Amino acid sequence: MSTRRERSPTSYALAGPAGLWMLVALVVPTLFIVWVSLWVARGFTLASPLTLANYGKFFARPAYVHVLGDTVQQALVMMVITGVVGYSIAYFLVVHVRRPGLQLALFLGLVVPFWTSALIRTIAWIPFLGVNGVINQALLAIGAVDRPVEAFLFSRAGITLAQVSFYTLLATGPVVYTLRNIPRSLPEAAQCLRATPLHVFWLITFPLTLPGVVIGQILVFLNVMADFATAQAIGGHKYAFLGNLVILLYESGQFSFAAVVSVLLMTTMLLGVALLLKVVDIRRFGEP
Amino acid sequence: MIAWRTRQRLVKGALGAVTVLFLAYQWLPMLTMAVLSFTGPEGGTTFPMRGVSLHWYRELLRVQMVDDFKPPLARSVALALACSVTTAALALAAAQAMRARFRGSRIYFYLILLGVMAPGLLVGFGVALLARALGLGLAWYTSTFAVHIVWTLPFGFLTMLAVFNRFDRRLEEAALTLRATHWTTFWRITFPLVLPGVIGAALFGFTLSYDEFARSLFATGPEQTLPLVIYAQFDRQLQPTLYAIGAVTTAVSLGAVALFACLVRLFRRRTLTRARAVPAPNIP
Amino acid sequence: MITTRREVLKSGAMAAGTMALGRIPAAMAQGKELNVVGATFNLRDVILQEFTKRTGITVKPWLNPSAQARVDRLRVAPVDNLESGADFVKYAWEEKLIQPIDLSRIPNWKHAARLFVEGQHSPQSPVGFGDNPGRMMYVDKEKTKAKYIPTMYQFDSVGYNPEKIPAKDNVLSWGELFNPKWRGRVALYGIDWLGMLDAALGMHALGLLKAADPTNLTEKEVDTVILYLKEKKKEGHFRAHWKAFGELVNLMVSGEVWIADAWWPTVLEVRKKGVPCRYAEAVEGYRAWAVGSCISASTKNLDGAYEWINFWLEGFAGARQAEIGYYSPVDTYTKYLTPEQVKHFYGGEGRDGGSVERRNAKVFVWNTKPKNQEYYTDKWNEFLAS
Repeated sequence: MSTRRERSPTSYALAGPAGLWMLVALVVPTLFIVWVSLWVARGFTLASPLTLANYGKFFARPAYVHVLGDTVQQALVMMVITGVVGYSIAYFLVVHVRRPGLQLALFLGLVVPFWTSALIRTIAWIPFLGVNGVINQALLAIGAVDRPVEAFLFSRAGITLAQVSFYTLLATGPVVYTLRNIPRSLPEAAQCLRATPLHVFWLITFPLTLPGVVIGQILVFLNVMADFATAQAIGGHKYAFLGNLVILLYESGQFSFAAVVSVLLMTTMLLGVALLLKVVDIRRFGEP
Repeated sequence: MIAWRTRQRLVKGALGAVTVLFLAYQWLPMLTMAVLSFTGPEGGTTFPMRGVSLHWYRELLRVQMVDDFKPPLARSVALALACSVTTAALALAAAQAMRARFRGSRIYFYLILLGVMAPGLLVGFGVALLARALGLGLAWYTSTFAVHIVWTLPFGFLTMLAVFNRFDRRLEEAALTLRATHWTTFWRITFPLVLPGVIGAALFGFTLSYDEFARSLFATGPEQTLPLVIYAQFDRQLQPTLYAIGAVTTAVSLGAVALFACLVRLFRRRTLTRARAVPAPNIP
Repeated sequence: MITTRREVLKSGAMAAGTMALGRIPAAMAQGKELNVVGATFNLRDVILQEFTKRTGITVKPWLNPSAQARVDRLRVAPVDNLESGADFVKYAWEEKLIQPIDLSRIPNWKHAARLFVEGQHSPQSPVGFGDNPGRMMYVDKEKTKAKYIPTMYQFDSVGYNPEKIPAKDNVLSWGELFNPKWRGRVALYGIDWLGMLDAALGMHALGLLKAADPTNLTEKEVDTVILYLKEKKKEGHFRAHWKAFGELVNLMVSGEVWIADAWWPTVLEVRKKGVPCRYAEAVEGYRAWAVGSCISASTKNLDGAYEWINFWLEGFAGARQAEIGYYSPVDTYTKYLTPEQVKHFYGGEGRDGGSVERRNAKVFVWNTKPKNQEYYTDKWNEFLAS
């Protein structure tokens, strides 16, 4: 068995199982959904004639185009917030924290919550953000407001607040990885050549961590685009992103239209990833 | 013009503040949840607490016909273990194959990564309708398992690729020149060195599968996994039982971390003692 | 390294073993199982446990708040009993998903209240708009076969927190749901046909909608309702939408919501958690409904299905449902409730809204599946997405 030679037969045998799995469990169902999205019939009818009009129907309704726009907007907002916060945390952990014990402890402090189910953590935000919740009680106690703030829960702001807590780690992790791979000799060499700390960061550190930043942004983008549980629970059934729309349509038996929304969701996600990948080639991720 | 030292300190302070604030931001809801899990039988999922009791923990243990969390928990663990092993094996094989740059490896790379880029709802939806068209049934150990691997494999694959990208081929070449077979070279040289990556892929497989619900939502049969049962509560009534689950899970995670830390310290102490026992070679 | 690999293989084998073992008992239990589709307000743990204890049949419940989803479940999975209201039983019957029930096998049905035999509690009681069970549940004129057997019924109106919302003599209009004074404190039901009906009742009370039949709105009337709802949503009038009574319980207990188109179990549960809650008498009249059990056309356990229905009419289930506020169509519950409890739940002593007779006299509409429900669904989805 050898993968030393280019294009050795063993490599095809090794690549086979994973590739086959993805084809059967992912590509085929996706193509099936694309087919379903073209059905004229509303329910489940295999023999249905095909049409492109369903996509026209989607774009003809301003409410639905609005949902698409809202979802993308939410993803962009989250990318910016998690990008900034995530990078700050990563930089602090890797560059400023000297003791490896403290570094590990802080990192674990960030990671351990992720071992609790995301759904339960979503629910935990409700007593936190509500009118009688912890944040409002605290604000009232210190006298910052005289009536509880309603806007924290069952609002777009609430959804964003909760999502920041879930997805920032996705932006932090890859940046930590790339930051740690920067040999100390590089910033030191730059400083020997009388570069200011700002120069060192902007011209050396940041470009070297760019692959990590991009991967983090991609992960956040994909997760926020597909998120529906947070919008449902924290939004109080009042907000619909593309994921919520799919579930709504599926439960009312409109399979072809649900498929249309699913396909549009996936297309947007793929376009976003393609754009972000123009910045860096991640196949070389991890190379020294 | 602020001095360089002070500017450094300000930056460190600011970043540190962001980190600490964020940690608080993440942990406060979890602490709120832990406190609320001890609410009395008449309490709800929000403040004010009505009494203090272990009622909701006992509810977890009670056998119920509706909303029993124990069988789904067992299924989720079994599924996560299976995903862990399968992801590690498939990712290792796929990454090893990528090293040979076979024809179509570029498309192959994107094929594997497609698992991350396809929204979970679409994958689950597709599997559900496809199964219906083919007259097949959905079950947690068949269709759900399949879609879980679709989600976990890309992560395992990327981990293995990153590890192999840093791998020094010369070690393999050295073994081959010493007349080792490819198989031996792999198991005795390559595999031990990439083991951290394999373990990472296995861990990804476990954690991602255990918590997965978007793909499983449509693709699971009547026997549900734990996240799906929890998600069903969103449309019923959120009870402090869910907080009890969360508190227990966090306690177990913290316990596992503490245990791991103790083991590592013990291991390190033993290796140091053993190292000291070996006399240093006298190399001129 | 070798140890790790062995452990990994061992855990994999154990996982495979557990999965295999799980399948064998499942195949053996086929005969003693009953697949029931229902919701949180009827498939309650206490009732299911009692049924299993008496008959030895294991119930496999499938719950969903959406009546449409429950009926559609019959198309994709094996189901024996479907718990549904008269409205969606009509739909399931038209789609040939359920089979007629032989009333001679349901001995307790001869004790059924007049409401379910004639469609009216008394000859003077209003018939009400929409799907009246007494008028549409029978297959034949002789009333020997039925599409479904009602097992619980009630008359819905508005639930509210009396400390925040004043109501003289516990009487409120449906229009109170849209009172701008309660902006940001209102919860409206989130599923299309019922949310739309409650909204139509509110708008009708405020004179904003002139519909001949609120339960079957024309497309133009639906558009009017949705336009108004979208306006209200933009103003932030709705705090949240709810689908199961438990969700509304949490909303009212936490103080987020003061008034909603609530159901009785919500009111009782909220009170149990120490927050005041009352169920108003509607000025315009109640929205009545009757949920019951039908038998799937493709059931493999016909005897079990009949046992399930007979169990519900035997009295135990009726008594347990009274405790969450629901009436039973047959009076067999008396052997499971104290006389004081009967006087309270049915006689109306100390109960909001009074007695069964009093409620029956004020029926306005019944829960109905509208003829153009697809249009309702499309527009409602637009409202939710706006």
